[in-house]
Amino acid sequence: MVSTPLLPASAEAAPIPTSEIALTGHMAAVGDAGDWLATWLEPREASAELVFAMRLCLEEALANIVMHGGLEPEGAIVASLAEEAGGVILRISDEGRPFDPVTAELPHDQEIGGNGLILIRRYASVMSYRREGGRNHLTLSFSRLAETPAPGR
Amino acid sequence: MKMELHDLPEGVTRITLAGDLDARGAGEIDLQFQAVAASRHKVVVDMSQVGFLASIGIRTLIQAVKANNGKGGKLVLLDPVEAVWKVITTCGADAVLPVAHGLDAAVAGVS
Repeated sequence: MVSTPLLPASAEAAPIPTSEIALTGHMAAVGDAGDWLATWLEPREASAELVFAMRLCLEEALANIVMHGGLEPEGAIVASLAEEAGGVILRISDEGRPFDPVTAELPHDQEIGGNGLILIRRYASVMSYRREGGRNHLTLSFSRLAETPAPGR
Repeated sequence: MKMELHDLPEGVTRITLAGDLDARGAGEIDLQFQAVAASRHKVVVDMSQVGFLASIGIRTLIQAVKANNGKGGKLVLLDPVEAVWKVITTCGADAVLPVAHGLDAAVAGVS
């Protein structure tokens, strides 16, 4: 099997591979997204730590949207993956109620979603959020070496 | 996700989980897992073949401990792999999920 380097030797040397998937608001979509991520990562030279961190963050972000986002069952969630300078970017947007996982306070009852937020904040290298066009847009960045959990976060 | 039961001496039940304890995996075993955890008194949950754990899986484990303890039982997790243990500790769930390393220690932990 020919493996594709996770990062091109030069940012100008190769096109940036991206992938996008549209998901429903059902819990089954969480598993489907995991399959999609695994397929995208499989030919790349990703460390086990990076694969674990990305899969965990994808699952937690989607589970939060499906369980707490107030989406219609067929409500649109779109996720995309891209290689960008310094690492891998996972973007997720949804039509659910506004929710900023970057600044949201953790719920007192850890069984209703708090653990997911803790894990995303800990395992993603960088995260950002914006509300635009009636959608939540979450961007999670992962360094190539996936030095996660990041110290002190 | 696979789940197997083995009866050990002294009335100990070993539940071996194999696969990924994510949304899909937890959904596959949750009903049977909770039923066994609540109906057996001494339960060792072998985690050594679980390669991935998400928060929904942590919830499954915590609910099993609560159901088991609520009926006077003891439940211990056996040998979680490092990456899975890191997820548990990151969430602080190690405060409510008893863990043992080695089967002897796990059996002692529920006896």
